[in-house]
Parts: sequence; C-alpha cells; structure tokens
Amino acid sequence: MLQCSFMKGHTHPITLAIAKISDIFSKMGFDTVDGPELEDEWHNFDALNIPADHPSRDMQDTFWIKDRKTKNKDGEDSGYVLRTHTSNLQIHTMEKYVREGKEFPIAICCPGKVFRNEATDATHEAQFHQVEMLYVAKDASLAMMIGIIEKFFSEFFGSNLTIRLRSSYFPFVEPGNEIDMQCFKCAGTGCNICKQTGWIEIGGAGMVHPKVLDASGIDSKEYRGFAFGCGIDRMLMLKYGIDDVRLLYNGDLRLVNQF
Amino acid sequence: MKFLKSWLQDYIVEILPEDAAIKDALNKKAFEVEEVIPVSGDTIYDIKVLPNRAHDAFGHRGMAREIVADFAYTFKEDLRILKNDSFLSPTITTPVVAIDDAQSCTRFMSIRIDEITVGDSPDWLKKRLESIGQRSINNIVDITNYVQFSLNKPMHAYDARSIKGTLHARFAKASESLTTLDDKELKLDEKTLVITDDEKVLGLAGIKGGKFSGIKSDTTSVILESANFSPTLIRKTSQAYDIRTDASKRFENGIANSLIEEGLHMTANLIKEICPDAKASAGVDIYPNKDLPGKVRFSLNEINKILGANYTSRDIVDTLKRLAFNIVSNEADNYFIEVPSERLDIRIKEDVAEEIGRIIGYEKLVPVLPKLNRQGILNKRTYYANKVREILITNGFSEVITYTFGNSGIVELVKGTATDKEKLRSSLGEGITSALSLNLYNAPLLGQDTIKIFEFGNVFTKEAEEFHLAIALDDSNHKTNFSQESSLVLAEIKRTLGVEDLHGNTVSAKPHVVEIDFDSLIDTLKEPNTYEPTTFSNLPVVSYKSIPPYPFVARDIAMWVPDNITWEDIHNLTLEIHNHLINRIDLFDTFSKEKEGVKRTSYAFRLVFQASDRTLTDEEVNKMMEPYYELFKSKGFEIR
Repeated sequence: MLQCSFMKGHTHPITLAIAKISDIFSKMGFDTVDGPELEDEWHNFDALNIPADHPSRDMQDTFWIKDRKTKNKDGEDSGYVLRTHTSNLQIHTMEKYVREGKEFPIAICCPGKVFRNEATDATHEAQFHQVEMLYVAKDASLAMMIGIIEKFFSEFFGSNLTIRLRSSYFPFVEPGNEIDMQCFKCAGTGCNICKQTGWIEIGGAGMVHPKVLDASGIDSKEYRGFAFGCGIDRMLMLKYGIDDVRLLYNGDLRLVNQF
Repeated sequence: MKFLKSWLQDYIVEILPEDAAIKDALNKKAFEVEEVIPVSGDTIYDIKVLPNRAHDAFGHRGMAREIVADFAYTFKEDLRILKNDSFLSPTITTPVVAIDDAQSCTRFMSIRIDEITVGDSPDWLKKRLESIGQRSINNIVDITNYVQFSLNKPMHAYDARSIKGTLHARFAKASESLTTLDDKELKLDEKTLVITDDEKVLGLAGIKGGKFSGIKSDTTSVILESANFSPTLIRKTSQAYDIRTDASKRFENGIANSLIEEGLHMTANLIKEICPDAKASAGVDIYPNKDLPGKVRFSLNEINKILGANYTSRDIVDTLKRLAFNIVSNEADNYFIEVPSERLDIRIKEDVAEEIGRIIGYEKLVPVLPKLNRQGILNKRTYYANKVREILITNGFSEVITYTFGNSGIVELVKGTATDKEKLRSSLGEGITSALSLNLYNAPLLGQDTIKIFEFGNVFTKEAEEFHLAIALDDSNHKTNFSQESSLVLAEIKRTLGVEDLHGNTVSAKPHVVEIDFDSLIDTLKEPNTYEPTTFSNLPVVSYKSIPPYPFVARDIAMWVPDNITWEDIHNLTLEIHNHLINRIDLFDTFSKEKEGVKRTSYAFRLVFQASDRTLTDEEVNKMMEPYYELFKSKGFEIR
C-alpha cells in the first residue's frame, strides 16, 4: 500500500491560520467568537450604519436569501443574506454583553466564512474567510488599535512589522482607515510581493461609529470601541505564495497536503 | 476621478510641490492617488475620492482645499463665484421658477442671459476639459461643464427660445415621455422628478437634459438652471432608467445648497468673460428650507481620548485653521466650531477627531496595547472541533473546505454566481464526496492509494443553521470496506469528548461517508473556560509549490533486484536521471523470494510526470521512460 496506516493527515491551511489567529488574540486577552453565516439585514447592514440605499446592498454584491423575511426593530420588512463580512459578530457580541450584563471590556476576534456575489478568479472567491477584531471599553483609542494590529501581524508573519493608517471610509467606523502592513518579505525595502512599495494593503479598521454602539444598546457617551477586519485567505496567500484562492475551497489535497 | 494640477493651483497661493509629494500626502491623509499622468507642462491625477467626501472633493476647488489642509497652504477663492451685477440689464425678464416638493428639489435658481454667441471655446477652456477626458462641445456647454468640474455643481443651460412659461421641478405624469439628447425615448412615471415648462418635459431632473431644449449653434439667449435634488431620489431614478451621468453621480452623493448660487454666478460670469456682449436678467432663487451650517462641539480631552494622543490646544487650533473650520467659541478647550458648507460629512466629534488625526498624521500616534490581564477563550464549537481535528489528523484524515452553495439544498438564493450555485447546502455530503473523487483521481500525484478526508462546516435547513462534521473514505479501486476504520475513529471521538450519542448518519456506504450534527454532539458539553493551544496552533514552515493545471501521467515499474539492493538504492538511481518533469516516485509493492538458492526482491514503484506548461503526451512519456529501463538493465535488474 502506498499510504502507511500510521501516516498523519493534514490540517487545512485556513484552519491553521484561524488557530494561529485565535492563539495570538488569546494571548492579548481576546476571546474567539463565532456566529451565523446566514444573517438578517439588521445585523449585516442596518446596525452597522450601512444605509438602505448603500451600493453594497445591491444584488451584484450580496447573496440574498429567497422567500425569507422578518421585521426589523422599526417594524419594517427585513430580508436575509449570506453575511458579507464578519462584522455581524460585532453586533451579536455587543447585544449579548448588554443582554447578559457582562462585564466590559469587550475584546473579541471573530474568524469566519463570508460571502460576496462576484465573479471568481485566482484572487476573487464568492466565499472566503475574514477575521474581525473588536474592542469596546472606556479606554479604547486609535493608538491602542494600532498597537493590537501591529502585534497581530507581527505574530502572524513572524517578524516585527509596523502598520500605517490611511484615511478611508466605512459607514460603521469613524475615524475609518485602510491598513497597510510593512512588507514581511523585504521589511519595507521593496520586493515583488509588495510591488516595490514596501507596504501591503491588508485590511480596514477604525473607531466604532457611535451609531453602531447605540444600535447595539451600548452608551456611546460612556464607551468607545475600535474594530479591524482583514481577509484570512489573503494573509495565507501572501505568507505562503498561494497563487489561486479557489484551491482553498475545492477540497484539493494537493494543496492541503503541503501543510 | 481626474484632476489637473494647474486647475488645482488656481485655488492655492503657494506653488504646488512635485507630483510625488502631492501623491504621498494625499495617499496618507485623504485619498488614494491611483495614477499620476504627466502631460505637457502639467499633471493629471487620477484620485479615488472616498464616498463620504464626494460632497466637496468631487470638484477641483474641494480637492484644492484638501491639499491646502494637507500642506498647510493658503486657499485662494475664484472670485467668479460671486454675484456680479455689472452686466445686469433690467429689460431682460427674469425666468419664472416653481418647485412642487421641497424634499425632492431643495433649491432652484435661474437667470437669463441674452446676446451671447455660441461658438468654439477658447483654448484654455478646451484644454482643461480635454485634459480630464471631456469632449469640448461649444462655449456655453463647456462653461457649464467647467463649473461642474470646478465646484462639483452640475449646471444646465437651455436655449431660451425653447422654454415656454414657468421652469417647473415636479413629478412626471404617467402619460408623459422625454426624448433625451442622445435620442432615447423615455416613458416617464409618477416617481420621476422632471423639469418642465408649461408645455413639455425638458429633462430628467439632475440626470439628463432633453433633446429639444439644448444649446444650438444659433442660440443667442440662454436660461441657466442651478438646482439641487434629493440624493436618494436621483439614485433611484438613475437606476430605474439606467442612465448615469456626471451630474447624477454628484447629486446622488449629495451637495450643499450653498453651491447652487456659487454655480449660477460662476456660470454667468464665465459667459460674460467669453461673450463680452452678454447681458443678464436678475436672478431668481427658490430656497424653501435653508441649510443649517454644520456645527460640532467637542473638547480637547475627547479628541485626545479617541485618538490616543496628547495633542495641545495649539495643535487643535492650527489643524482647524488648515481645514478652514471656523472656531465659534473656545472656552477652556471646549470647542464649538462651524464647518465649511460643502463639508456635509462633518457633523459629530468623531468626524472632527478623524480630521485632526489625519491632518496631523496618524504616524504620530504611539501604539499601545490594552492591559487585559486575562487569556482569551475559544468559542465552544471551535474548541471541541479542534479536539476532533486532532483525532482525525492523527488517524490519517486530511481536512477539506468545500463550497456552501451548490445544486441541492432547501434554502435558496435570489441570485447566485451561476444557476447551479443558487442553493445552500443542507448536508456536507455532496461537497465532500466530490472532493473525494477529485483526490482519488489525483491519488498517484498525492502518493496515496486511500483518501481519507473530513470537513467541518455550516449547513442550512429550513429553520436552522447547523455546524456539521463529515468524514469520507475511499480507495482507488473502490474495494476496501472502510466501515470498521470509520467506527474506530468515531468511537475515539466519542470517548475523547465523553459523549454517548454521535448524532451521526451514514450518507453513503460506498464511498464511505458519515455526517455528524456536531452542534448536537457537543450540546451537553460544558463551555470551555480556559485556553488550550492545539497541536496545530503554530503555522508550519512550508515552501508552497504551485499546482500545475495540466494533467499528470503515471508509469509503473516492477523489477527483481538482488537481495542487497534496498529501495533507497533504487530511489537514488532513479534520481540520477535528470528529468525536471518527474513529480513523484512512490514505492507501492515489495516482496522477496528465493529462487534456486538466490534471494531476490521485487520492487514495484510508480513514476509520476507532470509539466507546468502543457499536457504531456503518451509518446513523450514513453520516451522519458527509456533511460530508466536502460539504467536498470545495465545494473542487471530484471524488469518484470
């Protein structure tokens, strides 16, 4: 027989990445949480301050569920979607803390599968994995967010990396930022991975918008929060040079067995 | 969106720095500069303006204000935005304007200008418009476009001869239609806001003008429309008629009502500049509910807490000044400010914190870590799933992740990426079975004869979303009965977790596929209360090899060798022949026999060939095999 009976199997690289992410965050005091992939409009959009006519709610970006409706908090018709980001867990977690009267701060990471209705190619998939980080406390600040994100990438990529914030816009954060990470391969001197710039665009982040805190029942006058999200597939592809995201989802052991 | 350097320079006192510096500052503080295109003596910047800044930065003036703030420069207004009565003629009748609904049309101004001559635009105007990709049409149309790209205020000019009576912003009647400038006939409905006169529909408000009221070569009098419309309404109408224009894009994002008068005056002044004989009527302005200026209260302490900074009053005051934010009052570092009218995005203290953070520079913030003095804990599903993963991996199972959508399931999507991907899986069975087939096909490449895989994933029933586990096993010949192996590993899972019931069912006996309702399996187990790293919590060092898209070819060799020859010897011999297309060499059978007192061993092994750039032909591979046969024969081995 080719395969010896004692031969060990292989862990999927997405699982390896998630285990590592949970481990990094656990050491910083952050719990790992999970939640539904099929989500109502409230948790995926409304509570995140994404207005009803926002382009991301269009059919071409979001997978909407057929024949399923509920009422939102304002008594309006509300549909269901495959979650377009792991940010729905920000809302679920904040609601849970309020409901159960749990002690703050909220410090969580949420790795999980997300969905976008877009054409697939080597760098785009209709399903992929994201990780979200959320911290809500009286002492939350942008400087603390930077500290956590730097620590996170440094641990994941195995070298001391700095990040830089660029101005950006997401309805659920204010200030809102695009995050660039110093290139882990060339340490910022320029190489083919960072397209000679020394930096890699890696995620979005910002201070949780007061409307989002309020929507989840947290007093935005008393508490502040910050959140960060990035693609796990992309981190893996960068770290290991995987050239086609689709290989992560067709069950192909030619990929898995390399890990 | 394209911006011309010299056009931006018009609004700035200081001489702009070189392109690299502008690009760098904008990238860090405001917007991504996607392209810098040098043109003779000038530069075009292609800038990705963020949606919340469309209100101001979609125009050259707004972008110039951003650069002024980024570099602490001095802003210089284009005074042509001011009302100019020097060519006012009391004999020209002011247009009559009406608004039906103050929600959908928030302001409407108009003016009539006589004694104009339609012709080519002056060179400077043509050049500016063409440099940002706009075709020059005639002087009047070009002027309205120039104002749009300067102030982010779309303007419309009508031939005065074609307007009968009142310019009216109202909803269309179901029977009405409109022929657009590009000869499209639109059937209108009652949700569509239009501009009309007493006789006909002149255009889709804020989106597109009609064919019969446009500027012609013999036009001598124009009526200007400067209006503002509800962003949501424009967006819906533009979607409904599938018409997207430069104007609709601007109205959709919302613009300040202060731009309505500035746009009108600038257009009139430019017409006067280019047609020196022009004479204007008095203007008309319908503005039912005046915009309130954006006012924000915040304290130095609040800004520092949000940013995690130690900025001083001086830092704050300087930055507000750079942004042209007006400090109404400042008492003991409690600020009350008024923001420029176009900055519809600045309404709360967090907005101000962002402005101060980005203008001073986010790189100035000193990273800190929270002191939580605790270890984070895994959620229950992941905690127990990881324990089961460890068992499965030790038992030779590898993990796969397959697609959530497919051809079968109960929950359906309104629209998927393809018609065969519009259902959400209600079982992991289908996905894992096809993964099994794929891997059995590739078994020679994997150097395995048996494929053992598992998947954790969510499945969707009518009422619920459940977390399931599936395991699947098969061999290349589909002969082995795996039920015992499967039972053993599942028993180990039960034993390790300490559960009685597996909540599993056999999806298929051949190939062997078992699916477990993992949520039910762990239902009675306690929530984890400590963190335990798994055996796979450290990322392995792997030099990943790309997977060639071309098929492989396998060739088996079986041969007798003297007893003292080991598999290692044969393997090394094989490697002596250089062939970069060889992907694997796997031993799959070995046994020894004594014949006439001589002990011999038979080795059967497989060579797998694969190219990364083409499909290998049989003939090619046959040729590649020849050196191996020759080598083995020369060593005296007997090929079987």
